[in-house]
Amino acid sequence: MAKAVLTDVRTFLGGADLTGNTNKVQISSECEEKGTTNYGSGGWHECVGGLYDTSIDAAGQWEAGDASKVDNATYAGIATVAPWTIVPTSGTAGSLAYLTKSLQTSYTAPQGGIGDVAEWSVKAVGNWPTARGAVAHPAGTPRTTSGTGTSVQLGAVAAGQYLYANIHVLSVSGTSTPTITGRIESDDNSGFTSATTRLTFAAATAISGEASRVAGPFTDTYWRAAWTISGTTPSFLFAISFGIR
Amino acid sequence: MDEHAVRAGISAAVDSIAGVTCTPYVPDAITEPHFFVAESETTFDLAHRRALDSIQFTCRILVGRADDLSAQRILNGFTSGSGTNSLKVAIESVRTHNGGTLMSGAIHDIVVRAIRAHRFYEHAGVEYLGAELDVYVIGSGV
Repeated sequence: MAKAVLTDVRTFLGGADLTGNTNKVQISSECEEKGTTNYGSGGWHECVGGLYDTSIDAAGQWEAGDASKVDNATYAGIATVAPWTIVPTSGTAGSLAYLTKSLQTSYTAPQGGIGDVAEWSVKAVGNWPTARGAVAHPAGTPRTTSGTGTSVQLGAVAAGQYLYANIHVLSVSGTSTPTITGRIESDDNSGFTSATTRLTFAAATAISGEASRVAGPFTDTYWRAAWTISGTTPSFLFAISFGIR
Repeated sequence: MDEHAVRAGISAAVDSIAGVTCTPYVPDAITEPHFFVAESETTFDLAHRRALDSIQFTCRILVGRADDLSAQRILNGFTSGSGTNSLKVAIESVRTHNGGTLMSGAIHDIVVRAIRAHRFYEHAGVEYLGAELDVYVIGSGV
């Protein structure tokens, strides 16, 4: 991937696609510096990494109206833990994505001086590690029947690592309680001739988000999203991301 | 945003003022008092994925100079922030603020930020008294 000018960053929080309302998003991963300097350090400080932390800062143009809008989603999210997925470019299946689950500690909106475009800003701090993974199912394609997504070669999950996954259910329509149940499958080949379900999200019947994880080890290196849909004339818009850490 | 639709919407909003000729473009000939949408400057990518652009329009109002005092009084009526002939009131009358888009979906919001440059303008070889308006519009980039 070449150097890039940021114009296409996709930001998902819970059941909201904040992309069109965002002009700034930043996800940071840090570890504590723990000093271990001793008389044998040769006159230089030594340190090791302590606890890790994740922080997210996002901002953009304020908009309110329904659960999919930034104000509705982030005002209700204060002091709650929710899944975040941030995709630097494109957003197609297999695109690089950062995913985590964070506690929203602040929400400021509407802000700006008189005559300015109304703005919002959010800060969230880590509740889980940040996984550097990929888009498993991109938002934008409505699904009306059960199916599987594109195969992505994330790699094996070593002992001590987890497979992390987020689902963001962005819109729901239909009757007779339309329901979507997402899951993550793995296999040792891209054709998924012998898929194994590794993680299953809770059934969703409304705009919502969920972060989940499963502990390794798994030797399979190919991963994909899959979903089961039920109801009468159901239609869902959703995004799924996954990564290994 | 469809700039043609936005220009047409601004012109249509001012057309609610009685006696004003309005055009969404710079006309070759003026029928004063005449309001027209002139230059524009577009800023792209205010939000990701082409979700928001802004356009800064320069509009002009030109009135005839048959009588110096009456011409300036007529112009003052157009450039005032309130009143029957206020251009700011007319243009911003499209702001319903019910959570939806404006101008049949063409824009998200519009505001007249300033009216300035009360002076003589030459248009097609004729001198008029007039002023310029800064009109700020935001809307989807697609």
